[in-house]
Amino acid sequence: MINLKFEEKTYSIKNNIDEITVGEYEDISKIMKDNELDDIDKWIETFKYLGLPEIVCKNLDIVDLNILSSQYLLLFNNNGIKKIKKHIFINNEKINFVNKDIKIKIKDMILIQDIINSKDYISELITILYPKQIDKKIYIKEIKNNLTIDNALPIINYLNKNINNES
Amino acid sequence: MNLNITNSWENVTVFQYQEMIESYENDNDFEKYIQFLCILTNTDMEYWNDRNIEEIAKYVKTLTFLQKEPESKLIKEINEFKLIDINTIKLGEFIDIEYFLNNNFIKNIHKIAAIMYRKYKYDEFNNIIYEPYKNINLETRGEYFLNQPIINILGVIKYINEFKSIFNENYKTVLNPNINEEDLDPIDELDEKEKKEIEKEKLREKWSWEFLLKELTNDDLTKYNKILDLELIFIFNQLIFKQLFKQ
Repeated sequence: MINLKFEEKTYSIKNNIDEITVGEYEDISKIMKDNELDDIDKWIETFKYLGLPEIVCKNLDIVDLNILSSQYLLLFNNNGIKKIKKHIFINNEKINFVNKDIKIKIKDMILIQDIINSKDYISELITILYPKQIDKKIYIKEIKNNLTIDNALPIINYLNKNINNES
Repeated sequence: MNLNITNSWENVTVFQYQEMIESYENDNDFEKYIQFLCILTNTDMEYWNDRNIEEIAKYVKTLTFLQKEPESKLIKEINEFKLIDINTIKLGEFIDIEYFLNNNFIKNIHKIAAIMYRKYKYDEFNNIIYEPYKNINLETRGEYFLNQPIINILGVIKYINEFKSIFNENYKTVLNPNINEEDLDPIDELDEKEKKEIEKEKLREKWSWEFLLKELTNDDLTKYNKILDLELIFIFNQLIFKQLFKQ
């Protein structure tokens, strides 16, 4: 959490990968990719999304904005996130990785390629690699609302390293 | 896992090329590349499905040659087969080539090669004599060419298309329908006779070779084989002469 003081009030917003959910991360990514916004507006919209009131956002000076945004750049750069998890927990339910080797297989990659342009890419990625026998839409909703992004970042890193480098 | 995989079109056969062209339709790029690997290593998806994606990375690098079209050089001899001179092609041979070109020519490229490349010998006067077309089973002969490198066969398509371009231009008055629909009034304003003429010309265009054979043989089916065995250019020169003579 980051705590910000403004006019004698303290505002807390999430900034750690074990606080931000998959759904929030996907939404923040969409803001960051919005070409209609300039760089400053992107950060302001992100902080508003995370719960910071508009009046606070608009009164941030450039130094504060830089400090705040640098906290989030760590998030997007995925530093130090290495190992894919053997299982994840959603609402206290343990869901295992799709195979015992904890490796992404070619058959999994073929499924991943099909969803690569999906607006819910990360959520759908989780449904493929941590399969659960329920309706997919319901599962995606559970993932978005209850799974933190630290569960997905190792997979994203791994795919970026192995697929983008080889393509 | 250590598979030998080619890194150039030189070692890709006609059959492999045909399979790969089919795989190009696949929207899933990753699956497409795995299919290419299956084709080039003679394996199937079962072989690859449970492998880790790092394992295939080295193979994907060798497939960069696929980003360019294969070279299409014209090869005049392939082992015991020689390319026939297309200017002396017979009507029957040309009709079959046209059919294969117009019906997914990649899938039929080996059959086109089977028509264009023939066994041969020399007579006592050192003239080349090609095996007769009627003696060739296209399916069996085509199988031989399926195993040839694609770069040795693709050139024949360009060779045929260049010939066709000149042929179509030189004989357009014989090949094209008599009525140009753009010059006509809208269909509702045509009388019954004109409508029938248009229908007849459309039918003629669709069944053009059949109409030509009918005309050349005066509807005598027993003469078909003889006509099909005459040179294409000879026949069309006669048709042009006939047209001019009528005028």
